[in-house]
Amino acid sequence: MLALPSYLFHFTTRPISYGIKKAESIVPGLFEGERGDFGVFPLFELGGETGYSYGLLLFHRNLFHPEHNLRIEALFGSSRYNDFDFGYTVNGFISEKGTLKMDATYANTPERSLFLGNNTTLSDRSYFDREDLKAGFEFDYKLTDRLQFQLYGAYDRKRITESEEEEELYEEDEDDIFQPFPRDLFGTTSLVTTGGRFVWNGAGGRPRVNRGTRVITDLKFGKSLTNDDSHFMKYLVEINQFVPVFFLPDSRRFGIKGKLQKAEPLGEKNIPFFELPSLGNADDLRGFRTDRFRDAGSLLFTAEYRYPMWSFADVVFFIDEGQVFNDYSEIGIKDFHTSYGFGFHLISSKGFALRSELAFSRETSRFILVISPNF
Amino acid sequence: MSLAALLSAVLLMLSSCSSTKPYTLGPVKSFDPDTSRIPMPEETESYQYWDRIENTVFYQIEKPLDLNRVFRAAGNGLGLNASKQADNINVLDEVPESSWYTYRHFYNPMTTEELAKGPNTVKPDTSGYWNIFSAKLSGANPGFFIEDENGNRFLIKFDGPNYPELTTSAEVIGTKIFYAAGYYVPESTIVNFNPDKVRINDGVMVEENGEERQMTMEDYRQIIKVAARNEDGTRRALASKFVNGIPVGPWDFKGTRKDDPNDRVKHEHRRELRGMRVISSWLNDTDRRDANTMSVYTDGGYIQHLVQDFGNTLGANGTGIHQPIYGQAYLIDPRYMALSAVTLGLYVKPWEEVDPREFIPHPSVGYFRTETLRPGRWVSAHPIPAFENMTLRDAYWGAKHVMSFRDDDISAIVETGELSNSDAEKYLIKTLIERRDIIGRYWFSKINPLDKFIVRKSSDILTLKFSDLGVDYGLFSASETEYRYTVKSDGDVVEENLMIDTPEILVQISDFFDEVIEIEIVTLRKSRNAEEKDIKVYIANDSRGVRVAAIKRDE
Repeated sequence: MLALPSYLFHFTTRPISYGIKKAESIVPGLFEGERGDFGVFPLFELGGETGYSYGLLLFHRNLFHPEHNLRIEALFGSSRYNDFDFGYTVNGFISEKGTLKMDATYANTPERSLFLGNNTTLSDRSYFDREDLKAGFEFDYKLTDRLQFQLYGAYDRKRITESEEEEELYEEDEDDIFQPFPRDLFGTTSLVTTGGRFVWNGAGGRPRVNRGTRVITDLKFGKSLTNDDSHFMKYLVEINQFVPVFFLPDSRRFGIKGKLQKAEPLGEKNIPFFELPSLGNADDLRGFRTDRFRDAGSLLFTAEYRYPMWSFADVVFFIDEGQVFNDYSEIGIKDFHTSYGFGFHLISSKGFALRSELAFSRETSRFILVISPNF
Repeated sequence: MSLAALLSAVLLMLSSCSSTKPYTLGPVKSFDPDTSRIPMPEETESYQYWDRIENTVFYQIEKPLDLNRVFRAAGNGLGLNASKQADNINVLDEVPESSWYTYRHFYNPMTTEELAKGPNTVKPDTSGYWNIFSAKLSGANPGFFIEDENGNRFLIKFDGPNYPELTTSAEVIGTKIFYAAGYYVPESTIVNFNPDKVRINDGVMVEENGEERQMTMEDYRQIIKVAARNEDGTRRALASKFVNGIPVGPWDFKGTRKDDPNDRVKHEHRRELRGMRVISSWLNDTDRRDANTMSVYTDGGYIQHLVQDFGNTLGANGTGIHQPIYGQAYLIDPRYMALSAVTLGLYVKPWEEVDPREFIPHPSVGYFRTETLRPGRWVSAHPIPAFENMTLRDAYWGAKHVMSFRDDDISAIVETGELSNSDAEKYLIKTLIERRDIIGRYWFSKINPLDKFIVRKSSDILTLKFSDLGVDYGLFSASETEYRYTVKSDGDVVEENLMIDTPEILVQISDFFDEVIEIEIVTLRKSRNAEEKDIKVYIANDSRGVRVAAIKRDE
């Protein structure tokens, strides 16, 4: 009788046993991780304004040619939220130093919220729905061991519509405070964008980056195809610095990030609001809701302390300070917003693999689970 | 009444319900009759990942949910009750022979020739052609199966390209040590074969990109590309002979096999599997797990249990080398993970900053060190239920098997690994000897290492001779060792705290002695300035003669 809880647990987990054994029999490479040539994995996305979504990831690392990789993701969140991504990568394109990536995305993402300016309150929020269709390419070329150049271009169609969420909120509680979404921002915008990016990577350490500096500069141009309203440029400068803790092994290290983004209209045209830099996402000002602050420019500083919990896992403590602005003269020390938190990073033999973090701010907290590094 | 007093009272009541005689006047069980004929069971599948996931995740959660286990561990910690001992030991604290285990080197010392020969009966015939009848292209260690011209079948495997001779020698050495320790193992030997005298049978299929096709000579050449090439053009390989009988899948380190009525003792409570942890620690046999075992349905109609796959022993880890963490922690070890997390990175794990390349004296011996061995903390790469249950008595059993290999024995076995570099061979022998002694010194200090008791009676004098394994194996000095003993009959002290300096006790038999007398022996090592735990020897003296009726080691 005393062992009953153990037996119950044992028998309730047997379906998992059956599933894993079956999976191992049917797909021998399933647990091979990076060594497998192809595979299908379940996908779960937590957080964001849709709560959660689920789907499948399919990849093939040896399609038609050993250097060709295919990746297809399908995510289903609700009847109003779907996300399909297709990516095809050709390594060794033109030369051994070149990589060509082609990708296409279709996504409808309801419940987007808009905050314009650095000092907005939650009652300044307005809602909209968005449908994205995007297809583009990116060509990466390694100029030297440390310097990489990227050339990219995309066709990007966005349809902004009235939010069903907004209507539901009205019905649920007419006293709920938020602002109606500006009617003149509804409609479909087709953009063509192109740009270039230089990445100077003086940071070293594998699989954990633990020392050195990384500098990223990016310049992007965009122009509307559907009308003559939008024409703009965006630039970005980001500096990452990694410093090991001197009295401990190099795997205990600080990471510091400074990031400046600015969008400028060209020829007295407009910038679509969704192209304005924003803060409040899985990378920047993580403790705030998505796109919590948006304006023509954004400035962010992040400091992280990272240390290994295991060979494949790091513990991270971080603090983010950021603000948005319309003009450089508006930047002020007192205008920074703070978020902080901690998390776990999974590390593969090739480097970063998965990031799960819990971030807090004065307004809210959020759980982050993503497969891209912050920096 | 205090809680401790209440617990003591309950334990006293419970203990009074059990048998009070720790000995037997009948024959001592030296054979476990688990070889009765049974219908041939269906083959079970071998899973490369499931056993690791099961034992690393699910079994670890099950353990604290088993309140029997929790209370027993708590009682053990408080000194209220003893550890759960193995279920298949006899009154002499020994493992009966069975389909799992047989008495070999420790009990009946083998000659160096016998140790070098190990389980082998034949080698592959290299004078004629080999015919490949099955192959595996993918995986960490590709290989193929051949039939030689004598009709003998072997699995052929190779070393990794960067570490010639490493894996094949480890496999042979590990196999022979486990064999001598009493386990059933497949035959394995180093073979040097002519690569041109190999043919592929029709119908040999290989899998490539998920599709099956006929194996080609190009596939064969790809497999042997990594094989070490000898001066005469032959290739070095490991040949594992197909076992006699029909393989029916792996056996588990936990539970029993449901379709084998002979399998009555839960594997996690078998002494030879619990004690195997110490033997594995000697060889740094880190990949010991369900998938590396084999059950064979024998011609006798029962299942024999084999241990196999020794390619992850010594300095080898498959076709590569062991990493520093191996043997020191599980590959996923919540104990160290928690410690690292809460100390904010200030705790540096012992293996964390070790670059194994700095400790490889020769590629053919890989990463195999003495300094990192901590016998009490050694673990395999993944949790093994039987290993986790190891008690001090199980560990002693394993340690005495390890210590039974003398220096010459080790040399004889290592030589069969056919390392071409004599310095590498010397390093391996030296490291095995050092590790053996560390293991012996550690475990023999934790428990009284008196063994091999023999009792004789001459008129009214009873002579009890025994071996002090600590002295016999050169770990402790005989001149600095004394034994204190007390003789009891029917619970009454007859002689108390007598001292001797040789392992021989003489007792004057009186008419009023009970038919079983108890001799309690404590070993004293002057150099260690410490008293070791006692051992109780029960001697029966009745119409059937005089004999050892039980041995109880204090933990």
